[in-house]
Amino acid sequence: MPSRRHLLAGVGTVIAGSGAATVSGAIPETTSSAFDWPMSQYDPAGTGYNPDATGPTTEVEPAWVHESTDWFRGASPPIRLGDTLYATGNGLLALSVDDGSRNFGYRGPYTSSLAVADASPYQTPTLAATSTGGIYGLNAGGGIEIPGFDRAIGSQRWSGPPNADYRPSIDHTPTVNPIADDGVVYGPVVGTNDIVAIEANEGSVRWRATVNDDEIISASFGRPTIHEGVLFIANWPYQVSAYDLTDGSTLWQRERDDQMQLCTPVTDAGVIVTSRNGVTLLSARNGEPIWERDLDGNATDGTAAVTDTSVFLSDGLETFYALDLETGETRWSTPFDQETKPVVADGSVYAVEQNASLVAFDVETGTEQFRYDPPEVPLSPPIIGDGRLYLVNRNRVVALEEST
Amino acid sequence: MSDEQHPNSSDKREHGRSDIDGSQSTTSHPLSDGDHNHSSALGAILFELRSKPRLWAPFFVVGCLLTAVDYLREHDPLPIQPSGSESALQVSYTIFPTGTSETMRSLDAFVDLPLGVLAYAVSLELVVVGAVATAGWLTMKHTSDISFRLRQFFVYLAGLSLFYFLARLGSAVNLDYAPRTLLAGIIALAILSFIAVRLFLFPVAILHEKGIVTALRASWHRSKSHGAPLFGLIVILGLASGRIVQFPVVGAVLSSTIVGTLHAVALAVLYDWYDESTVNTTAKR
Repeated sequence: MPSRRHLLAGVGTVIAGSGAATVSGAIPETTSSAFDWPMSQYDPAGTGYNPDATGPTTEVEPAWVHESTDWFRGASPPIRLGDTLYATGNGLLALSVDDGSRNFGYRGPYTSSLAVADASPYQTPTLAATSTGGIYGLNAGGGIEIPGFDRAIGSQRWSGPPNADYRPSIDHTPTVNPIADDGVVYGPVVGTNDIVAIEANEGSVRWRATVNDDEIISASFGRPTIHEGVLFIANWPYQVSAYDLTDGSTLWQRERDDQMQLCTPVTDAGVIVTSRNGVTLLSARNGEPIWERDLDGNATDGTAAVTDTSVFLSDGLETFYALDLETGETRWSTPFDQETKPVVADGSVYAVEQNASLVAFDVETGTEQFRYDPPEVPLSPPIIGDGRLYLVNRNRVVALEEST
Repeated sequence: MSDEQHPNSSDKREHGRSDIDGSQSTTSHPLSDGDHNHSSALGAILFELRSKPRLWAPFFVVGCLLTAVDYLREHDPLPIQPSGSESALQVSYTIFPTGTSETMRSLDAFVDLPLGVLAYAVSLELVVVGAVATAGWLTMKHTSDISFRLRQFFVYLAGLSLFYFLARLGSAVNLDYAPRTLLAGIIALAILSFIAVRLFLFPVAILHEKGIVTALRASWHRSKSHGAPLFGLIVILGLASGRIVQFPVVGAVLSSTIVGTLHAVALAVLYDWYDESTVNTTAKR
């Protein structure tokens, strides 16, 4: 039985043969670079750690600010692909990384961060986004703009489950950020206890799994993560689950004692699971605890960043921790208000405090390197590039660099 | 069959009808064959469908083609959408007689494709539009027994293509309307229904008349005073189309064969049946 792509390639070749570019907008540069940040928390594993990226380590100032798109209102972290920065909030905005100039933008019901996925046979990748209406596959090339309408033909390739109407929410980020791996998009289905795998090129559902068979819709998911062919996901109130990436079959599921299972960043050492009170390292193979730390916290949101040696997280109350990945022992801790979604690169860990203030800590000592307070809130978690940080700040997109 | 051929609508024709003035004309009609005068438009439509089995053939072929196209769409790596909603009660009415496929592909899916794949995807859509237009043209031609000119066919094809294109604009130009109140919904439905009724005869008028404006005018005038039966027919066609296509495997074939044929025959019959000039002539007698 020929695959879909082979079938299409055969038919297409018979009809036309060549593979040259054709009906398209101005296809932007979407090639990858060492500074790409293709999804929230950087990679499918959700580590929030790009060893190749470098960020500022002393006081910062805006390298540029984009605030000229009047409909834009965002709170989710941007992503970077090549020389383009993509941000969501009432639509999709594509900016030049260098100076923040607008490449394209159009309105849409997109509130989450994006995830880049290969979308062969398309010439441009698909950007996955979510909102209260469902999961969407957007064209990273922007499509063919309709002048004067903030709309573009070919801008949205598909919409996925639950295929509902978008419902405005008072929550700045009402849905879970999707992730992508090897041409497939993964994310929870809004309003259900399900997670779903969707083909990035056509939007068809590869598999769909229910984490909680209760008829009552009760699962509140963290961002899913992927490591070595396994998808991990945590959900309120007690569950952490592992699914086979190919068919969605359950590999293991654990009912944890601590309430609020929030996230599952994963490395070779295991799966980091943060919860209301503390953090645990689970075996990726069977979900058994390797170590557990009760931080006496009260986190209801947020995630952890993980390097080869350390775990960085907030307890949701008043302390930010760096823990040893192997043992869970505290390396350092420092005062910090509420939950956060930290990212790490080149000796610094960056975290947004109370959705309003960006703080940088030295990875080794926890010493505060700088603090940035923007004029508006909310402030999204940052992404890290070549000496810069990029953030979404309500109606602005900001690039920060070290002050000269 | 009629003894006379009527090359265009300017001919004065008389209809064997009684639904307007209660009298029964005895003169012949292109859609009556002397011994078969019908007391209602519905009777004339059903008579045509019973007496001319070949009328079913064009849209049966279209149904088979749509089934094949559905298969290709479902097995290629390009986005598709279901042609209807998941609602149990939906009216899938199109102005032009068409078959209803299980899937459709919006314009969004064609952007940023390599040439070979784009050619494949566009070809699928062109084949469908061409087949549907040809089937509609043949069915109405055989129903009316009038030799439409080829030029009119191309106008018909262009009109059908335009509606086909509009239905597939995708996310860029969203034509969906979700009323916020019941009253707004009722008003919107009333306006849409009025327009649908007035344009009901437009596809067949294109084949009879010279020019789009003349065809629009003809459809508008001939549908006057027939709002209720035309609205009923639109609802029946729309309900049947959306419902039948949900049958597994044979949905597209059944939907096209039954609804497409019925729609095309109804257009051809009613265009003559609602000829205002004949109404006036008959009424004066």
